[in-house]
Amino acid sequence: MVLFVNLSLVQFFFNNPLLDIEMLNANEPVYGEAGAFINEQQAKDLEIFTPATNFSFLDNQRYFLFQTDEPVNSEVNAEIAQDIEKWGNSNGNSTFETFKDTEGMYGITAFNVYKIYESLYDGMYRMFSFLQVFTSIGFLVGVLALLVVSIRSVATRKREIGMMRAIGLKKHEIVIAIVIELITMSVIGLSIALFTGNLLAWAMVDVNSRGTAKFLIPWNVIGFYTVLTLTVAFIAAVIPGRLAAKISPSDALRYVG
Amino acid sequence: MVQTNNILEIHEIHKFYAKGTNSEVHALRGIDLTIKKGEMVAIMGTSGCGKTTLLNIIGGIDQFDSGDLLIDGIDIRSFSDTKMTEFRAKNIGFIFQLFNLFPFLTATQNVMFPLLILKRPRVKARQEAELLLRELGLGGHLKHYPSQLSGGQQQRVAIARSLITQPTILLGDEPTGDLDFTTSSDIIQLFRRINRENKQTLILVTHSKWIAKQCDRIIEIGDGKILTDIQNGGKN
Repeated sequence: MVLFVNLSLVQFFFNNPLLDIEMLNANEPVYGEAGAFINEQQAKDLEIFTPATNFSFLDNQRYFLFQTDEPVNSEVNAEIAQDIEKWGNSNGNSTFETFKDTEGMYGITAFNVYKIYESLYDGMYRMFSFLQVFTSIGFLVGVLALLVVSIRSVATRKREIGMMRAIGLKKHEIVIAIVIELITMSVIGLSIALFTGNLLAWAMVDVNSRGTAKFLIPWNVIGFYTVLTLTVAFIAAVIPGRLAAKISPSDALRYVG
Repeated sequence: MVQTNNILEIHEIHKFYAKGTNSEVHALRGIDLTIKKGEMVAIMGTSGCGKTTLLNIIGGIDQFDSGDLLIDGIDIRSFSDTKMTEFRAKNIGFIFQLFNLFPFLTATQNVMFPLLILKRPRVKARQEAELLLRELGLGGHLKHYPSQLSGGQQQRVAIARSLITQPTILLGDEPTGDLDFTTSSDIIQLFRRINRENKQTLILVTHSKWIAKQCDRIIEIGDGKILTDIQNGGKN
């Protein structure tokens, strides 16, 4: 796991003889030669660090990443981050203390990167959950609308259906005709929704990332909703379709609506 | 199947609506009727007397409660819904007062529709439909939708649709009820021509005495029974 360490005074590090930057970049650094963070007593408290492989620079050497041997989601990482902060900010007799006094070093702020991601992800997760609920309500409204449309469509075309039956369309052919009609409507609606939805999502990603982020289409989610929509459309068509097929042609032809 | 000269034999048919309820209606009270092949028959009567019910039963789009009905010697009472539908598609043509054309289809498509139900090839069905529409004077309106046609033209399309499968019986439920006198006259002349040339049996429900006089036979129904059955010797 990565720990993100922010050292508050940049200048300090350029001048710190205990933190040998060159050594950190060397091929085979020796434990204990990397600097104050790891070769003093406090470093011994943090044995988890293996500086040769777990230490790297970020942001012009002001920020450092430490990788621990702990699993990514281990709570121990948070403790280690706390230990680093304590060590860097303690008033004990550490080597770092000396540099705090002599170089005007303020201290160290350490973050558990996983925790940062977790809190970010939590916010995103909540937002997406809300959107998901919002979408589900929309979907429910859509399903009800589809049912209303199909039932209304059958009711208003009762005479037409009666005439089709009189001419010679069988009951199951009436059901098939209505199902095909509703499925076609759903496929058209779905295609428009997928196109506009993805276009909007792409635009949002593009604008937010200023063209740097890759736009990913969630095919599994799209597949799920496509199957769900077509299933619902099928059910929404079969119910009124079967009702329509049961109507006697003579009753349907008498209908004025 | 017994070979007979009668296209239609009805014996003691009874029909109830809402049977067994407080609003039960005894629509047909023992109708006995025989119609010969090639006859043109008018059924008259006041509104609610049962003439449309009788026509619907003859056409197999309504059920009856008791009695016998033979069409061309075939007892259709034993037919399942599917078999009745197939029988209807091949043997019976319907013409209604309100035309009942499909508004989303052109005149040609409306006429070829019954042929497509009978699984005829689309190209051949289209050719036959166009030919028939031309014969009925609608050659200039083949691609017109019902809303683009006059009432008389729409009824001609409906007649073409009923004729396209060459059914043995044509049933008309007040086919000129929504048309003016001149157009009605044209339509009746058309019926006479069809009857004469194709030897098809026509049964027309009508309120018009003038139309009834154009038919071979006039049957008057009242309160679910046949009141009079007259051979019309003085037709035009």
